[in-house]
Amino acid sequence: MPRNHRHRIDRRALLALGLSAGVAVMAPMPVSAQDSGAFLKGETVRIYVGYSPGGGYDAYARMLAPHFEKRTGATVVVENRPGGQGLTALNQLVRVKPDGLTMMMLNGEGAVMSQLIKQAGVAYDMGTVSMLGRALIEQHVLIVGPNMPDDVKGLMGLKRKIKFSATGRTDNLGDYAAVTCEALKLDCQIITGYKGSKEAGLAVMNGEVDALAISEGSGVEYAQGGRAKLIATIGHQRSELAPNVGLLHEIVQLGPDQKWWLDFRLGIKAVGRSIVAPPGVPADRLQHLQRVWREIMTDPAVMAEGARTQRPLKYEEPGKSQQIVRDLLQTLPANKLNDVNEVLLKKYSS
Amino acid sequence: MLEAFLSAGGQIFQPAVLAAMAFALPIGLIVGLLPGISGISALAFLIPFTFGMQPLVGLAFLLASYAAVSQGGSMTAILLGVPGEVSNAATVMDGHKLAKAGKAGYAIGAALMASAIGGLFGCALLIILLPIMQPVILSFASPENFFLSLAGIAFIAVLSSGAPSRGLIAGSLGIFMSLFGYDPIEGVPRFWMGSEYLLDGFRLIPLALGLFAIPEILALMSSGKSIARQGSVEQISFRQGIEGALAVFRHWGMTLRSSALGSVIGVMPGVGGTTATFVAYAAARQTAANPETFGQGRIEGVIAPEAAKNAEEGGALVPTLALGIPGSASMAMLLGAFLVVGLQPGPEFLAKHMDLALALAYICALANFAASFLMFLLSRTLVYVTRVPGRVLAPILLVFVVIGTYAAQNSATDVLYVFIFGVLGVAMERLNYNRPALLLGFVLGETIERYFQVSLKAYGWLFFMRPVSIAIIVIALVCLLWPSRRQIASLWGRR
Repeated sequence: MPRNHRHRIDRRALLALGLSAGVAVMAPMPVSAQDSGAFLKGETVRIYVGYSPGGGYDAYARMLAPHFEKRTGATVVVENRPGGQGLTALNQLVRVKPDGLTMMMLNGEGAVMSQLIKQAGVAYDMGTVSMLGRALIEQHVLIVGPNMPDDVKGLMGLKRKIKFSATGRTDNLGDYAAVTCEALKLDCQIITGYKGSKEAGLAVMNGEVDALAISEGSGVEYAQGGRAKLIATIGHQRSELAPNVGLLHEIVQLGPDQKWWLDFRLGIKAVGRSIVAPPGVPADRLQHLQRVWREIMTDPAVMAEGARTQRPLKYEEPGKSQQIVRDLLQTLPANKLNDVNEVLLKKYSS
Repeated sequence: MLEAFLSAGGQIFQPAVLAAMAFALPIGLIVGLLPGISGISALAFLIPFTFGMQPLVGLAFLLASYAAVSQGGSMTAILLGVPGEVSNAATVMDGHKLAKAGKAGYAIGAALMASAIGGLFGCALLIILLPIMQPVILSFASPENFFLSLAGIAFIAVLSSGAPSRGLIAGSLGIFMSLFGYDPIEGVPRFWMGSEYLLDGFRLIPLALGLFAIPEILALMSSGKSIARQGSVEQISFRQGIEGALAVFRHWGMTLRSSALGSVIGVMPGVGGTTATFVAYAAARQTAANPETFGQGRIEGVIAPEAAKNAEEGGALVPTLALGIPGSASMAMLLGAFLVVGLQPGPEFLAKHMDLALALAYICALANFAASFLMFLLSRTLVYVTRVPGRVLAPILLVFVVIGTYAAQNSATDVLYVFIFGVLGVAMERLNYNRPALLLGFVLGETIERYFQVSLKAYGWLFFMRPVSIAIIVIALVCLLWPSRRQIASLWGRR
C-alpha cells in the first residue's frame, strides 16, 4: 500500500511536470512578452519633461506618448516640471519609486555636463539612472558672421579675439564653443547671457559677435539667409543637412591633446535626448520598457511622423549610452576634470 | 508683390480658415477671462489640435485664439482689478478705478477699441515691414535692449510721482527680487538657500496675481460688498461702450503713439509685452495735461497700455517670420507651432511663402477686430460681475487664481507663493507703495543685468555710441523731461 501510494504521487508529479512543460513549450512568445508588460496594463505612466509646454522636449514626449499607450495599454501623462535648467525634474525623478511607471524625456547632455562641473542643485547621479533608449542626437556646426573669413583656417589666422555667443557656459552652445577654441587653439571670448539659441544666432547675424557653435538645423537655417556662414561640422560624421561642409578634424590637423577635447564633448553628445527612468527599476521591467521604446523609436511609421513634424528620431540602444555615461563620470582622472572645469567655466569668460 | 497681397487676401477667405477662426475666438475669450492663464498657456494647449491641419488653417486657429486671450485679460483687469495676463497689469491702474466708479462700460469700450486699433497698427506695420524687415531687426542688438529696459526702469519714477520715494523703494524691491536664482550671465544661482524652486528665482505669474488679485479678493471678502459702489452703476448700454470707443478717437494721437511704441518694442526680440504696456502708460502720462490725475480713473490710462499690448504682438511677429527668432515668449510658442504644421520661418520662408506671411498679418488684424467685437457683445453680461456681492465673488475668484497659477507651470509651490506675494501686496496697498513699480522693476531687473553685461563684453565701454541706442536715449529723455519743459526752457534762457 505505501508503495502504491508513492507510485501514484510520482505519476501525478510527472503528469504535472509534463503538462507544465508542454504549456511552456506550446505557449507563443508574445504571451511571455505580455506577461513582462503586465505591470503597465491599465496603469497611469508619467513622463516628466524638464521644460515648459511647447518646447522641443515637450513636443517629443507628446509625439511618442500615444505610441507608448498603444503598445502597452497604459495611460500616459506628460508632466511638465520646468525649473533649474531641466535639473529639477531629474532630481525629482531619481526620488520616485522605481516601479517603471515614471520616466523622463531628458536632456542627457545637459544632465551629464551639469554633474561633471558639479553645478549647484545637482542631486542625481547619471551613472545610476536607468536608460531606456536615446531618441535623438544633434550634430553641431560652426557658423561665423558675414564679415568673417570663409573657412576655419582663415579664422585661425585672425590676429584678434574671436567672440562667440552662448546662453550659458555649459548649455550646448558655450561648451561646444569652448572645446572648439581649445581644439583649434583659438584666442576666444565666449559671451554668455543670450536668452536662447535663436538670440545667440541673431548676435552672429548682426555682427555683435563673430561666431557660434550651434545645432545643425539652426546653423543651416541661419546660413541660408546669407547673414552667416557655415564653415565646419563639429562631429565624427558629416551633417546630413550640410554634407558638403567638412569636419573640424578633417580641415585641421589636430594633435592628440587637441583631439581629446573634441572627443570628450562628442562623447557626451552620444547621450543626446534620452528617455530614462529612476535608478533601481527591476530588471524584468527595465528590459520590457527598453524593448517597448526600441519598437516605438524604430517604427518606420513613427519615424516618418517625426520627420514630417521636424522631430526626427535617431534611436540608440540604452546599453551604449549607459556605458558612455559611466566612462565619462567614473574614469575621468582628477586632473582632467580640473582642466574641463577650467576650460568650460573660466578660460574663455573674458 | 501685388500678387502676393492679393493671393494672401484670397487665402484668408477660404471657408476652412474662417471656420478655424470662428472656432478659436470663443476658446481664446474664455481662456482670457481666467486670471493667470496666459496666451502662452492657451497656445500650448491648442497646438496639439493643429496636427494634420493645413498650415494656414492651423496658424489662423492659433493666432485668432491668441488675439482673443488678450482681450479677455483686459476685461478682468478692468472689472475685477485682476490682470488676466501679466501685461494687463498696467490697465488695472485706471481701468479698475473707472469700474469702481460705475464706468466699467466706458472703460471696456475704450480698452477694446484701443486693442483693436493697436492690433491693426501692429499688423499694418508687419505688412509694411515684411519686405524690408531684415535690416530693421538686425539694427537692434543688445545695447538697444539695454537702453530700452533702462528707459522702462526710469519710468518707475513716472508711475509713482505722487509718492516718488515709495515708488522707487517698490521698484528697487522688484529689482532685488529679480536677482534670485540663476544669474543670467554665468548661470550661478544666487540666494537660492538650497531650495530647488528658487534656482529659477521668483516666478512672474504668482507675483503678479499675488500683488494684484489677493488684495482685491481680500477687500471683497472683508467688505462683502460688490466691486461697483451701490447706486453708482449705470445701466450698461451700447451708448456707454460706444462713448468709450469714441474716446480712443478723441485721443487718437496718443493711441497711435502707444501703438508705435508697442510695435517697436515687439520688434526687439529681448524686451517683452509687459514693458511695452508700462512704457506706453508712462509716456501717455508724461505727455497728457494734468498728469497727477492718472491712476484715479483716466481713460488715457486704459487706452495707452491696451493699444501698446496688441500692437506689440504684431511687432513681435516681425522677427519671428523674418528670421525665425521669436520676439516674445508667446511667439516662441508660435514658432513651435509653425514647425508642427511643417513650416520653418526664416529668410527662406519669406522668399518662398510671402503670401502666407501676409495672410498671417491679415488674420492677425481680422482676429483682433473680431475678438474686440465679440468681447464687446459679451461685456454687457460680464459687467454684472461688478454687482455680485463680494462674499460670493471672492471665493470664486480665489479658485480661478489658484487654478490659473497652478496651470502655468504645474507647480503647487507657485500657489503657495501667490499667497506670500499676496501678503506683500496687501501691505503695499495699505502703506501706499506702488505695486506696478515693483512689477516693472522685477520684469526689467533681469533684462537690464543681462543686456548690460552682454553689451559691455561685446562692445566695450562705448557700447552706447550706436546710432539706434542714441536715438532711444534721446527719445526717453525727451519723454521723461516733457512735463518740465517750461522750467528747462526758462533755465536755458537764464544762462
